[in-house]
Order: sequence, then C-alpha cells, then structure tokens
Amino acid sequence: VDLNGVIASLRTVAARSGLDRNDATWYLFGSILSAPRDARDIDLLVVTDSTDRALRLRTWLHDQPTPEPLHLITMTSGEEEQLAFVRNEAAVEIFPTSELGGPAAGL
Amino acid sequence: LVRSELQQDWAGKWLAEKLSQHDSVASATSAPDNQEVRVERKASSPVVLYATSVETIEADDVADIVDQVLGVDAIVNIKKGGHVTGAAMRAAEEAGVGVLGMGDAMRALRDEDRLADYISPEVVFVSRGLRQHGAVDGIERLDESRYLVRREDLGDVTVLVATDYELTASRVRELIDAYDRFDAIAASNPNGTVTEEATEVARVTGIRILQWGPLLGALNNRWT
Repeated sequence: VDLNGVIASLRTVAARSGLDRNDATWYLFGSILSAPRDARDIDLLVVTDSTDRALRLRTWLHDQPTPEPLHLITMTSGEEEQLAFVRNEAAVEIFPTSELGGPAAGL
Repeated sequence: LVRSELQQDWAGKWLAEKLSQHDSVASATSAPDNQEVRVERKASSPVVLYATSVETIEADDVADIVDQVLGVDAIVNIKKGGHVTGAAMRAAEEAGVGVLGMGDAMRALRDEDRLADYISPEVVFVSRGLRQHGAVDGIERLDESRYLVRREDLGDVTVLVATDYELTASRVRELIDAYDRFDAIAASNPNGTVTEEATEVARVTGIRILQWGPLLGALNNRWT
C-alpha cells in the first residue's frame, strides 16, 4: 500500500465532507503506518462530536472514492477519551491538517 | 456480470497479492480487472475464489457469483466487519461454496480441502458454549452473527455475537440497523472494550451488552 497516496486520498475525501475539527478528526492507525507493504487493510479512525454525525459520515463515505480495503472505526470524542484509543494505538492525525479539498458535503 | 455492488476491480489483484505471501499457497493469480483468484496450494487441491469487499453479502449475491464464476469454491469478503445474511449462508451451503473473511480464508486454504467445510474457531467456540449450557435446549444460527437460543422453561433469547475490539455507540447503532431483532450483544472479544455510550445506546433500545461469561450466567435466568 502506498502510504502517501492513501493519506492524500483520505485527506481529499475528508475535506470534501465539509467537517471541521469541531465535527470530526481523522486518524490512521495500525499496520498501514508500521508496515504499509504488508498491511491487510487501511485502518481509519474518525472521532466525531456525536454518534449521529458518525453514522451520517459512514453512510456518505460509502459513495466516496476511498482507498481500499478501508476499515473504518468511528467513535465520539467522549468514547475516545474513555478508550484513550489515539494514544494506545499510536494513531496519526491526517485531517484537518490538510488544506486539500473540494465541494463540501455539509454533513 | 455479477451485481454492480459486488464489483471492485481491485479486489482480485489485492487478494492474489496477499494470498501469494501465505505459507500454504504455492501461487495465487487473478487476471487484470477480474475478481476471480486461482489458488494453487502446496498441500491440497487448487481452488477458485471470488474476491469482493462489501458491507453485506446477500442470497442474490451468492446466486449471481455461483452462476457466473465457473467452479467457484469460496467468496472472500475483504471488508472487515462485513456481514453475511442468513439467506446468503443457506444459499452458499446449498451451492457448496464457502463465504469467508480474510482471516478465515487464510485458515481455510491451509486446513480444508473443501473450503465450504470450513467453520471458524469463533463459531465453534460460541456454538459449543451455548449448546453445553444447562439452561439451553438448542440453538439455531440465524445468520453470520445471530444465534436463536432456545430455552423451554425460560423463553428464547436471540444473541448477536460481536467480535469488535472497541464496541462503540455508532457500531451498536449499525448493528441495530443491520439486523432484524436481537435481545443481547455478546461482546466476545476477551480483550475488547465496550464504551459507556455504547451501553447506553443499547439500553434505551432494550438490548443488553454482556461479555461472554456474564452472558452465559444471564442465560440461567428469565430474560428481562
């Protein structure tokens, strides 16, 4: 898996969602970071401000040109705090650090 | 051609690449833009796989693939957390075709001459645990994840087994949307965590989330 290509592609999709840091923060984690050549899938975490927004985002992502095979986990910021997922998994934020973008979906 | 939802031109090439690295596989090849993967195994007969990556595999999907892919031995769903409907499971069983996730595909290629005979360790564990329970008179596997647990004296209970490491509120709502009806979620991953928000989402919809041991304990009592 081409890690830089994956990050660029996901940043483009994330920007198109129209969500900002208050709504959603996007992270990669797992083998895609440590051993991209051997990775079985692309582990993506999106931390959202609410469960409703997470579900809307998941539905919207189905029709987006995401890199594959994508494995998406969504959780609220409260759940992330409970699990300390970002710290424990050494997840790396990929959005909103990018300025890539397109038309906003208004989720 | 099979239904468009199942078509991912990348899937065959991707699966062939991953299987080629597996110890039990001599070679795995797919034609460009083709989801069929032909696998030569070191210690067993060659097999034909159909690679896809979808949230749900339904009975029509199985029928389409069996019709169109000559001699297919198994459908491999690359999508992690994707599920197989009960009708799809029965259609695959009748056709003698396995429906496997990635991890199961690796094990089935290593352990089974006929891929349709493969049963995952998780299904063996859950089925055995429920069948051996003193209050349980029988079980029926409704689909890939749900089990109808029959209890003559205490009433039936439908259990959905979730293997997620992190059972979050959005995942619970997805499960509720995806499956018709169930009474409990068995969080079967011993290293997994259920978030407080997930527990609350389940509670307000009348569903209990229990780890495996507590679930077996709860099955001794009338379900409330």
